[in-house]
Amino acid sequence: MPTSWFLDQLNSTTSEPVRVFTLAGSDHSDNVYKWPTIKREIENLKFNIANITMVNADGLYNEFIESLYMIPATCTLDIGFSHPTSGDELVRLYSGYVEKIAYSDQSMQFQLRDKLYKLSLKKVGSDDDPISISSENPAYIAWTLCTCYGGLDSTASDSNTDIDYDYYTSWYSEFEADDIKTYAYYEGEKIIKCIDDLCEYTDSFAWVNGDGKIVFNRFTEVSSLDFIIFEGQYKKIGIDIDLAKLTNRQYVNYNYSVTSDYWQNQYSEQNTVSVNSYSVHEKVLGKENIWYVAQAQASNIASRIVTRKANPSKDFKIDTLLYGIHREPGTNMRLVNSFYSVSSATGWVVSKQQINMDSFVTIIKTTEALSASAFYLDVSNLDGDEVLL
Amino acid sequence: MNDDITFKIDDGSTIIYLYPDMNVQIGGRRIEKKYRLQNGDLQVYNTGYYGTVDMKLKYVPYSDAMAINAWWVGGSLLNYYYTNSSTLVSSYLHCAIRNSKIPFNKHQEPYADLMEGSLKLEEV
Repeated sequence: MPTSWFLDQLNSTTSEPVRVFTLAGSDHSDNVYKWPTIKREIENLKFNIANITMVNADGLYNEFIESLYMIPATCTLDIGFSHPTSGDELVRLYSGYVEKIAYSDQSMQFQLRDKLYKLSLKKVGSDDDPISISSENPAYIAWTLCTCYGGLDSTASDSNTDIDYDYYTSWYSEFEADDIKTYAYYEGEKIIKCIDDLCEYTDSFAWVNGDGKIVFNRFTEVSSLDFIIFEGQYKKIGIDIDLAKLTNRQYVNYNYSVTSDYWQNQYSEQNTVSVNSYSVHEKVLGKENIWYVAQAQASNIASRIVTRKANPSKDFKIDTLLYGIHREPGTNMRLVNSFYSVSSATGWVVSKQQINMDSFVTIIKTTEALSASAFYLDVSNLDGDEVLL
Repeated sequence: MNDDITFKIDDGSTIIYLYPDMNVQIGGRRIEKKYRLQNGDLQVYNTGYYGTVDMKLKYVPYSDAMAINAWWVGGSLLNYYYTNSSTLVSSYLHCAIRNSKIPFNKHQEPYADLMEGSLKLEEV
């Protein structure tokens, strides 16, 4: 957690930010010519890249031309402030590996890629030797995909270097409490695609945090304790309203038959209030590599979706500055804007975050649809037959 | 300006004495980003500062002028400072010559062994 002094620096209208780039454990910050833009999001699962341009007038980085493949080039990017007595207080924004280099005149560029890149290179199973998993907690299936097939760290504790274990256990427990079990069948899909499908089918999301660990989570209820961005903390705001994101009748396919290649059952649930207001907006959810076998489980996911997406989505794009650097995708936030009459009484989910380390502009995109009904969404009730709202 | 002050520039081995006109310009620039926020506040992020010194020079011995030209060509790292008798008055400006063209390119008429030109120094 950032210290109060660090938060004071974030909120000061005059400050002296410090940026640090390490390459294979050594500080190369003084050689950075252009700092990268760090992007992270929860709407789509994909590996994130960071391009960082270095001064190479003295040929310091020429060794990479011949030996990129043999240099253990783990990289980190941090931003923060230098405390007058206790040293630098930094927030780690990115951890990744040098996967590509490019030279131009007397500068050179490192392209860094995070851990999800590894999962985009490897597949699970094959046509001849498919992988079949029966009735497992979907979180455990994701863990198996990452560790057994993706080669990531399988240490079942906080010291896991590739997966945020606290978030993972919390995610696992939510499914366990709801008795959600899924079957899975993989015939050669890339691991990243399998995890993306799993997240979509279970109304979850994943992203890679600044320490380079994969974070798994589900959308949560907005709280009055969530952070607020005030008008003195951003320079630009935009609102995007898209009726296409509305879903008030959700079909969930379940009980997939691998041998016959068809869905044996389909469950549907609608939000009648929303249908009466906006007419029917229906969608079908079904993944042929992961599925539920019981109606109660299909009902659980359908209820969540028609509750979260029952109203037209108001998505905000806020060009804030360093105020947003210690926030994480998937967390809930509130916003104040007098012109659009937006008050802190409603909340949104941070769905995208783009931090430009060169200009210090941090763009936050929020999606109301992900936390529609804000303070009234009680996920625990979604397991039963109660009619919400 | 105190008559006792002597301006000097060196590359760590050779010291050249400078006798500028009365127009030494000491400057500097903050490296910063400024943004106007929605409530009207100005947000400033300051990430650095560098000092500059500009001066015009006349009647510079040919050998000194050529040495400075060579530093410009080589992009040498230099120290600029001034002293009062033997005492350091200023702090060192660790700098390089940032003229866009060669600093000394003109003879000081009518003297064939003297040059005139200008120096633009920037902290590195």
